Amino acid sequence: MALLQISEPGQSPVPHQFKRAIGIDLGTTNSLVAAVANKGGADNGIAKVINDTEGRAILPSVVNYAASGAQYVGYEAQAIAADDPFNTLASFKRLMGRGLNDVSDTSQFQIVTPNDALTDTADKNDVIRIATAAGEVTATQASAEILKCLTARAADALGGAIEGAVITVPAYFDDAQRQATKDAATIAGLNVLRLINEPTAAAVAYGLDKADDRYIVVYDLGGGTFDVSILQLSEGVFEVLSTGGNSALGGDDFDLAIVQWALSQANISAEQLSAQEYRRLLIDARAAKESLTDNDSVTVSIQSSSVTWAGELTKVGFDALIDALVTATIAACKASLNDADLTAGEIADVVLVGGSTRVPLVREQVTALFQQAPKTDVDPDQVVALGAAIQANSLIGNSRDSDLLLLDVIPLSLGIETMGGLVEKIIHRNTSIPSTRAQEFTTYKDGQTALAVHVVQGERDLVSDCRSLARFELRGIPPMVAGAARIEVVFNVDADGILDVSAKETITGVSAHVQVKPSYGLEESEIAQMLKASYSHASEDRDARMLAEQRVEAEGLVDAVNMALAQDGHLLNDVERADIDAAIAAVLAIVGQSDTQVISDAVAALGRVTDTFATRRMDQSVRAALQGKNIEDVADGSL
Amino acid sequence: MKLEHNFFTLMGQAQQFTVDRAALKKRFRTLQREYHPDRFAAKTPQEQRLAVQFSAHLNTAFATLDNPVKRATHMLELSGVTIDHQNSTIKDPVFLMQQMETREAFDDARADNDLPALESLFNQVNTQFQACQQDFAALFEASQLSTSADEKKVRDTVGKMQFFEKLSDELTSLIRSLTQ
Repeated sequence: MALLQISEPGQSPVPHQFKRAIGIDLGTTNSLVAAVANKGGADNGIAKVINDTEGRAILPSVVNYAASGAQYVGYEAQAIAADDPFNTLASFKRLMGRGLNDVSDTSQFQIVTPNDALTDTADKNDVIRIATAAGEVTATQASAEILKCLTARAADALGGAIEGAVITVPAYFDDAQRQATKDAATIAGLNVLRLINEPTAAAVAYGLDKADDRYIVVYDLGGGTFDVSILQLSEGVFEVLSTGGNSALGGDDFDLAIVQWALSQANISAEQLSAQEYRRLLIDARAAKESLTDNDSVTVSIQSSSVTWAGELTKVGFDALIDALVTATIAACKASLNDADLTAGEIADVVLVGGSTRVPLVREQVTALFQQAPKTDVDPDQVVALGAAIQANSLIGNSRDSDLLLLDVIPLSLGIETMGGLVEKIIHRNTSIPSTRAQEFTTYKDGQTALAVHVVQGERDLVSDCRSLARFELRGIPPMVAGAARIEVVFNVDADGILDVSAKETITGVSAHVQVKPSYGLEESEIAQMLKASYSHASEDRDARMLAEQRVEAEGLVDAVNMALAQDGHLLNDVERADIDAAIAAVLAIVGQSDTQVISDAVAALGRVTDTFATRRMDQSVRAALQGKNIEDVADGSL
Repeated sequence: MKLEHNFFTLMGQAQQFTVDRAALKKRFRTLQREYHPDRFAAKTPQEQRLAVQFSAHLNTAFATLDNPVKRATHMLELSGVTIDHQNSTIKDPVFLMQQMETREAFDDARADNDLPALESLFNQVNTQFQACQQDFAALFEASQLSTSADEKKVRDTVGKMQFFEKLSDELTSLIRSLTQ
């Protein structure tokens, strides 16, 4: 029987202390931040979007990199965009985790930045870099600027540092795109509680969990991405059955269709316009699209040094321009229904998310497919951020009794390259995450001592048709006849949908491990550099902030371990207990000091020494759960 | 951590071929509600890692018991019989003949986009698939794999199930692509 723990004042675990957690919708066109207000306050546990000081909820996802080294973000950057197109990045979410090889249609670059601002890299698989007056930047860094701006806004509104964030990503984002989003958060110095899928977040915001077991569809058409997810809802559990989409299809493409129509009507080519003139035409095209939601026709004009043209675009004409795009989204909905083994008639609710669902043709086609009017009562621009805020509040532990649970799936199959350039799928799309799968492979030649592992993502059979995620080598296999070696490749996908791969020769135990990131991604060292650079204007601020964060982490860990000891101290023998107590004492002894590294080392040491304890606690809890006992009974030591 | 490798025990089901899907799903949700990594987001990194591991294990367990071929394979594995789906061959000549005929009928119907033929083939394949599942359940429960002949028979039955499942999936997607 363990002794009961009594903490010193000021060091006691405070289980119900309210923590500041936010939800961020990092959108192609616009981004938002939301949070759940503290219980007991006026807004008692309700998620709300946080406005800027001028009362605006939206932050345009636009960043301007000025020659002075200053960065303008949001409305400020948008205002400069047409005059300074070369140094302004818009819709850069389209380039997250992508190389030049991935972007087949270079006209898509025009949405982000003029083509000639791209840095020509020898390796087309490298992450896309854009030359600005302030130096080369990547989409990941631009995203980090948006995250920093929203986090600062939230910290002001909530009255203190943000302790954790949920960031939403399109459900159809692949591994590289998810990793790039996490990297952006790292550069912004933000603690990511979880990446969640945008359609799933929207479902949470709708609170569609109240009713009995039923199926819903979330149709999410944003500025640059399209997702459809089919969920089964039951007593607070949001279980994604299937997901589909296109991470390079959105309202931007409607704008581009209008631009191309105008250019062909005016009988000129895009090259005849300057970057500024082209940017203005893009902005006008977007305005025209929005106007056609409520009007039957709109005037589109081109003003350039060489051409002046104006023409009338009718709603019917616009529908014809975008018909193929909308039809592609409807086909994806049908495919997802098939994957979920459902028919359109079995869907209880259809939820529309994303600004582009305001386009009448989109609503008409969705209504026709599901034979019901879609739900739009929560603002389609805000719904994703609100859902993310609810999940962030739950994850950080503010709503302990919450029944909310999101069970999501992986959108695209993961596999490795085998002989002949073929893909062997290891984890199939629509598999629930987290997921672990192991597969055995063998050598092809006699005496083969190394094995190249090429990890790919996609549905096609040929490697060349799939997305290359990473390559690594397993070396030191003892020479054996072909087919004798047993190489086990293990894929682990975590709850963020991010893959980690390891390989091991099972006879000799030779192993290799890779966090899937190199292709199309930023190196770890580069991220560290960017993090440093992003605070370079005030290095004392940065150091102070890192120290503060490290202290919070240290104190949090000590609290968690103390709580675990109070509950389950009996699982340890005297030696183990003494080791843990010593490690706690070591952390507490230095947590007040100002050397971040020393605190970080002590935290790591405490982590190591509690490893076995954590495993035993988990085993005990699972054993009890399987025997049908109440978890709380076990925790109270009544076993 | 110690993972329960008998998915029937883990999911609270009797170790038999017929599963109660509603109960299976309920148990799955109950356990995920307790052990999903989201429940450990505010806990120590060690506990978070364990939760990811256990939650992934639960996903595998549910997916295994929810699918007839995977479930049958798992039952055999628990009895010490492993099946290599890629390299197992069925030597039952009657079945092999049937299989070739069915494949031919499938290829013909596909070439002609003959929807009624595909639908009738789909019904036929599913009837055979169901029958095969019943065979498995009966064989497994009667023999408990006491002789190698029993084992061979059961092994072949799972191989047949796999064949029917694959064909049924192909037919389903083909029929859907033709009807949409």
